[in-house]
Amino acid sequence: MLLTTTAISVEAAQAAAAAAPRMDPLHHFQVVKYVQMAPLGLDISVSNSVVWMWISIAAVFFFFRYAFRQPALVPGRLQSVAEAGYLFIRGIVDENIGAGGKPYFPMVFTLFFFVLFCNWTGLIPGSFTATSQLIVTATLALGIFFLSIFLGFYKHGLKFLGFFVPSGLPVLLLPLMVPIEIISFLARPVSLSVRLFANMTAGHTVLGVLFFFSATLPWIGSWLPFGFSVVFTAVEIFIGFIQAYIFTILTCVYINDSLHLHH
Amino acid sequence: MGKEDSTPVRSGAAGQDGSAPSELPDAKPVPISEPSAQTGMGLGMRMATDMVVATVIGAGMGYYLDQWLDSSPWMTLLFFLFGAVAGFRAVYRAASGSR
Repeated sequence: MLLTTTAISVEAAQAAAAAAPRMDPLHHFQVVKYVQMAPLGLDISVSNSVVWMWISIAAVFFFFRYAFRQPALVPGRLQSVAEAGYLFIRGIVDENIGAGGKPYFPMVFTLFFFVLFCNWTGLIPGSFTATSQLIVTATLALGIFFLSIFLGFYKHGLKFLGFFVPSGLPVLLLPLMVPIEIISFLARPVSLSVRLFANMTAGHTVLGVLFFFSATLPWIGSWLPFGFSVVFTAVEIFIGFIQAYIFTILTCVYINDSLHLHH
Repeated sequence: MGKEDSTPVRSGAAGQDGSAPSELPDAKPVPISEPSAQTGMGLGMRMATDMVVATVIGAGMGYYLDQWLDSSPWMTLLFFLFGAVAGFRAVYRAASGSR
């Protein structure tokens, strides 16, 4: 008797659990392949990540096209925003690379707005945050990493290896400092990619949890998570900007380190 | 942009010079990246990840060196310390640098 009742209650609990909305805040990080393509064993499937990167690129493109559709000397509202963005990146490049930083401005500009719009389009409900995938951010970061190595060797030849030897150091300390320098150099792309990926993933997970609570709690309790989710969306917009900003600044810093040894 | 690249673009009283009307950027005194206001949070995030990642990278390097040289656990310990020092160094650099 006791057995059957417990069995029923377990069944009922399972049924209730199945019927209840399930909390799955990581659901929106699922990569779904829309078009499967793998020629020569190379997986170039079009996934939602890819599609949202395309959307971000298109958004940047059309934003600037639209902002500058009739460039005026006294800029309108959108043009002011676009110009402020331009000046902002130029300020970063000037400040962090300085002399000789001009050739890298287009790349840095593109990088900043790509990351920024990937972060921001990810906030649209139902969208996908491309920068919440480690592979995306790692690809960007490794690109920057190899670019900085290439630049270093291209500009300085083998003298670039002196990068790992801090100047003005007693020879006795070299075996200690060189591994440290190498580690901190190798840590660059990792920290660059992990920071962006982790911030995006964490923020969106929190948003997912908050939205879940505000959707499933009875009205008497749901206003609290809902209010939080509104506030947190604003925070997330800010975080998206800050992360793109850090990414850009560090790109400039790394390029600068390769261009000017021992600045 | 063209003539002076490295000078920070802070042209407060530009507009009177009227030299190059096609140069949109210099026309407006837009506050560019005030370091204190904007980078505070950014700097914090940089430091946090730099420190953790350097330590992890160091420990990972040590671990693989151990596997390679069959010298467990010495390389892991040594490189963990190296990584930690590298992390602190990165933080120090981020804090003291001109950035």
